[in-house]
Amino acid sequence: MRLVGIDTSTAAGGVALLDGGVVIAEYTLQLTATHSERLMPALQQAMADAGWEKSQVDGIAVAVGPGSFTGLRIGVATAKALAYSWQVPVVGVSTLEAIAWQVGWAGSTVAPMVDARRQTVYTQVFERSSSAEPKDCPQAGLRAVSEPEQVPLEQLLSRLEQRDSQVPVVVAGDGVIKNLELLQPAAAAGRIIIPSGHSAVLHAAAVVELGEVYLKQGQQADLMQLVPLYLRKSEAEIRWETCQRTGRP
Amino acid sequence: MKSDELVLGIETSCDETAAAVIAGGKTILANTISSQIDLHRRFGGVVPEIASRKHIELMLPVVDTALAEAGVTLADISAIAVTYGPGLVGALLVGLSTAKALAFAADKPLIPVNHIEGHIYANFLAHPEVVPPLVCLTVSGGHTDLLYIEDYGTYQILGRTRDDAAGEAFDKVGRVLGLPYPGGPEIDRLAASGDSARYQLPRGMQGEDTYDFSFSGLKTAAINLIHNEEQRGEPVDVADFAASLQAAIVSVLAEKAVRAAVDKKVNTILLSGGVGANQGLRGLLSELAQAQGISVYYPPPVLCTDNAAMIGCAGYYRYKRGDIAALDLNAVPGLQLQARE
Ligand SMILES: [Zn+2]
Repeated sequence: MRLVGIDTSTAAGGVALLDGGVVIAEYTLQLTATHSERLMPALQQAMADAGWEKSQVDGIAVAVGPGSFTGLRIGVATAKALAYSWQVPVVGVSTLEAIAWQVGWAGSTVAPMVDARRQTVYTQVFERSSSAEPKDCPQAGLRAVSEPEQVPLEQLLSRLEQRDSQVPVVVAGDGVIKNLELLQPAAAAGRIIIPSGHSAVLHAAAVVELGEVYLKQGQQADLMQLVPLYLRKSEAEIRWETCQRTGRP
Repeated sequence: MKSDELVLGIETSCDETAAAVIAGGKTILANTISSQIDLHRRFGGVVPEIASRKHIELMLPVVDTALAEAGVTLADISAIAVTYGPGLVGALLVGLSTAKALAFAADKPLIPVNHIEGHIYANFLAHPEVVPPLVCLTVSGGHTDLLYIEDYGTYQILGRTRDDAAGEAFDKVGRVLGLPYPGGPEIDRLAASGDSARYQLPRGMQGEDTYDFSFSGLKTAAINLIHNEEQRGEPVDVADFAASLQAAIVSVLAEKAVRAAVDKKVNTILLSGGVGANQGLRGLLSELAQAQGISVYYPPPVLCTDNAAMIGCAGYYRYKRGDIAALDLNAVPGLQLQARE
């Protein structure tokens, strides 16, 4: 199976090509140029380098979020149009699950953190589980023990501290890089493990690998229905609802 | 190049998700528009994030519907034309990302189209007999341009607003008057029964030896007048005020457009943009033009709102001139119409 993976959920991002379960190409760019400018040229280049014909692509995996709203829409719109044109399946991959997949080998508990601004993160906690077999469990033997949510970083940290287990939690994602100073004390105390440099940031390779697992499980998205996972309403809706509830503007 | 080539047009610059299939530049095979106006009404204006979220939901179904209605597949299309500005950046990016991926996947040329240019070309769709050279007045909430179009795809900018767009003056004053969003059409409706001589409002740069416009002075004066009358306990008569405001705006627009047509010795004026649907503007412009033997054209209502047929039409003529974009094309929210020889 030849799959194209796309991630535009954060400032880093790019494309990866998977052939027979192996990532054969990955272009990750972390530049000031927008995803809109660099995504399609990166895909074009990666496919040319891999010698892939467009007719040889069997499916598309795309990171659907949570993440930057605009970034997610660029990736999802692109993935949908590719899948529509090539008439191949598309699968949406949670950025939190993809991060857990990417760093899950390093610990028994993983808390991905995607930056949600103002010292909050999108997160979801994953734990290694004996009932989760790597061959049929999407998260490399990890099981989600909480729902995806947006939480203040401080709150997440104290929650992780109150765990019974003494085994450190592996954290990763752009929310970690962005809040490194806040996380340093917990890392120094051995309660969390922060991967170094590039491995802390989500890679399209993880998205395409996990996408293949999903597709093999038959978790194909409805092409016409696929939308980003925002986890948060627009500011205008939040204000409007507050105003309706309190009667104050 | 065959003259019946098909162009797929895509438009998501504001709150309409649209796709269309155009044959030979001027024949509409499909024109699919999904409007979100009801979603935004309670916020008193288009909310960019909500618009963008709706676009990503609707985009592919709208493209699919347009192709099905035209009875063609992507393979039959010769080029994909897309609006890359001006507009809301997040909204533009949904249509642009879709168009780029379709163009890459199906090996079709990607044609960049300016949204304002699209509104102008709506006229060629509605009136295929109209041909350049001509003068075009294009007016909306975001721009006010007076253009000389010598041939398809060329623009000479004779004048444009130095501050606010005419449509912005309509909408901002409409809001202060307490009219429902969007204010422009509401003012147009009320003006029909109002007395336009009741309130004295400034007519920016009228009679001056320039084709440029200015509406910020008018906007400020109108808002001040409404507040002053309110404080005196004599709120303005809404219909009379709407008529006075409308007269002040459209008289300057119509006068300059007709003068430009006479100066350029052309017998055609095109009207486009959201404010092009204004009945007061259409009436006065037609009256002044007729006296000079000049014909005025504007698109029917369905082609006046944002649509992708006009993008497909403008895209066809760009395509014919070899204007093809690379895959790194980005959205340009503040894109202006560029002079083109
Ligand atoms: Zn428009």
